[in-house]
Amino acid sequence: MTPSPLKGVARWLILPSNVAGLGGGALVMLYASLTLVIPPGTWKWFAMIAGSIVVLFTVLGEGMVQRYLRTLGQLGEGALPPTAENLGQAVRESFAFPDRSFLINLVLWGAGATLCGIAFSLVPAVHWLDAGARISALGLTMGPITSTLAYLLLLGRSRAVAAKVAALGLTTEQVTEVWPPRRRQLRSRLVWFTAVSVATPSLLMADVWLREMRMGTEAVAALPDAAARLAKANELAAEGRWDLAALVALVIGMGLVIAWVAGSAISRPLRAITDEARRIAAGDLGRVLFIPAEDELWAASAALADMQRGLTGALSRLQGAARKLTRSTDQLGDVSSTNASGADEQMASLNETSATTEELAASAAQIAENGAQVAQMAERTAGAARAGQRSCQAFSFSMARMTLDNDRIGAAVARLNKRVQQIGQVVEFIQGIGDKADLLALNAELEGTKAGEVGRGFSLVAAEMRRLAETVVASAQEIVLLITEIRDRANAAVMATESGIKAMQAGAVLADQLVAALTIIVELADRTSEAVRSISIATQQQQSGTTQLAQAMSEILRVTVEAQATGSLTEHHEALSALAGALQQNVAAFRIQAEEARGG
Amino acid sequence: MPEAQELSRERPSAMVAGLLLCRAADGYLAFRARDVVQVEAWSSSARSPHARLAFGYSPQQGRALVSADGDAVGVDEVSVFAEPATVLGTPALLERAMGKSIAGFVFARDRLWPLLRLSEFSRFLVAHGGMR
Repeated sequence: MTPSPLKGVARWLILPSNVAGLGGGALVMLYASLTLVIPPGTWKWFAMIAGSIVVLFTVLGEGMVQRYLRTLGQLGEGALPPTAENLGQAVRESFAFPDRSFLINLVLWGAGATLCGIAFSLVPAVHWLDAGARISALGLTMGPITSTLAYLLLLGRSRAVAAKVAALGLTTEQVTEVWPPRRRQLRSRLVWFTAVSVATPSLLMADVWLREMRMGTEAVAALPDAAARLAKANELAAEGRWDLAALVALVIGMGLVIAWVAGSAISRPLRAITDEARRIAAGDLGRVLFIPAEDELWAASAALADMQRGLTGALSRLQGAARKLTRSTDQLGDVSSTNASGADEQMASLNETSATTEELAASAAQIAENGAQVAQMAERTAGAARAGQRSCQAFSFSMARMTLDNDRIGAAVARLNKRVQQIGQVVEFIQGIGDKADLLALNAELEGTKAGEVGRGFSLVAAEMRRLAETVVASAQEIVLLITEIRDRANAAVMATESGIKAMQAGAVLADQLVAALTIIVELADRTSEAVRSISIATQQQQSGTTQLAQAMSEILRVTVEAQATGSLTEHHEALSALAGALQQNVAAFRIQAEEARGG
Repeated sequence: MPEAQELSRERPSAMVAGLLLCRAADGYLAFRARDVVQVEAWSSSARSPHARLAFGYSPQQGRALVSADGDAVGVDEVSVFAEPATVLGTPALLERAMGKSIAGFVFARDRLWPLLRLSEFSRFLVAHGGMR
């Protein structure tokens, strides 16, 4: 396990406070040795009381300090993980520690001096005004300057600790968020520094001067004669001159130290801010520097960090825009070259397109006229189809009537055929009778012939009868032939009638189909007429649109010609390319982080 | 057979009166009237032969001449010729060839008719496959 980089940082931060306390204590002891009147035999009491209070309040102050730097100490010991929250708390503790240390020192110095004076006043043979009260006043006088010195010594370390903690994972923005800048504090602090650095030495000098004056006056007044008094006064003046000079030197030194430390505390972040501003002005925006400070200085540092972040973002976007502009300009250059080379082709194409559009407009007009004619023809077609439909319906009705008549004719012919058959039977019967009569006559003639001369007359009669019979048979035969012919003709008529009926039925079916077809034709003709009307309207609209298109093409052609005449795209591209190059060159003067530049 | 014998004995100059002149197909035949007892109708159902067979034709409906013996011959047409006609003689060879059914020839109605004996001719036809 690697040790925490914050190990021992808390102790290192506290150390100037202790040093300032020890320095203040030493100064108090020196001053006390010069000005305090400690009765003989009471030094051990004074040392014991002062030492006990110093130890007591040192332990007390150490405990308070440790509590105020608890998170920082735990981070240094590894007891807490270096999360953003813990680091932010540590930064907050670091920044707040000088003020808290100042208050602790001030309170402890005041309380300790007061307690020491009261306790020493309780020692026998100690006058409370000469010893106890002066000790308390001395502590109260040295407390502010010691606390101020400790504060000034702690400022540098608290800044260093805050920077070290922030370097573990906090951005300047996060530090600003956990420790927001507080304004109108610097003036109060400067007033306080001036007051302490002026008032404390002045009080001490006044106290020393009054003390020496009182003691000298008492010593001179105690002498009996004037010469001795004069000599004593001169002696005391010579002695007091050196003491006063040493005290003035001490006071001036203290003031200079405080002024130097305070000036350093103020000027150090100012120098860092100035350097950072110069670096930014030089175009180096590679990193946002964390400059820890206090009060208005901290506000200025945070504002500078914000400005640097804003500038970095803006420059990143500007660099990206410049690169895009360069690329776009290059592409524009290519396009412009292509356009320049294709301008003539475009002109030629526009000319052809314009001519084609005009031809299209003329064709559209012709189409519109033809469409109107087609619409009229479609309407006439629909009318003819409706007339044909009516005629066909009439024809179908006639066919139905003819079919009915043919059925009647067929039935009549069938009845006629039946009658003819009956006649044939009668004729056949007559023919049979004739044949029998012929046979009888023949036999009679035969008998008459056989009878000789006697039967001659009989034979003649029989022969005549036979001729009659034969005539009857022959006539009957002719009738049979006629009947056969009639029957054949009747059968042919029946067959013809049946064939006619079938033809009529087929014709009726065809007529019905024709009616249906004509109905469909009428419907289609109506639809066609409607469609042709729609086409005619659309064609008229197309004609209008085509005419407008031809006008627009002529306008485009005119504008293109004017554009070619007024200037080329290449010239604009060259100017834009030069502008983009200048922009990229200017932006490249700023150095920003690579990822931000790529992000832009 | 006495009539047949009588015919066979007739001389060429003998006269005959009363003939039945018949036609069968394209052939002509003559019979004595007194040989025919009755004329009947001939039909395919009749059991008498038809004279058309003698001329190589198939029989058809016509008349049947019936003799006193019951023999009959079918012919197509029959007519009575009552006038006397001369009987011409027949060569013996022909007479024998026809089974003695031919008695001679008569001239009537401007045509020469073979005069046949009805019964013999009927039997002749039957003997030569004339029966149906």
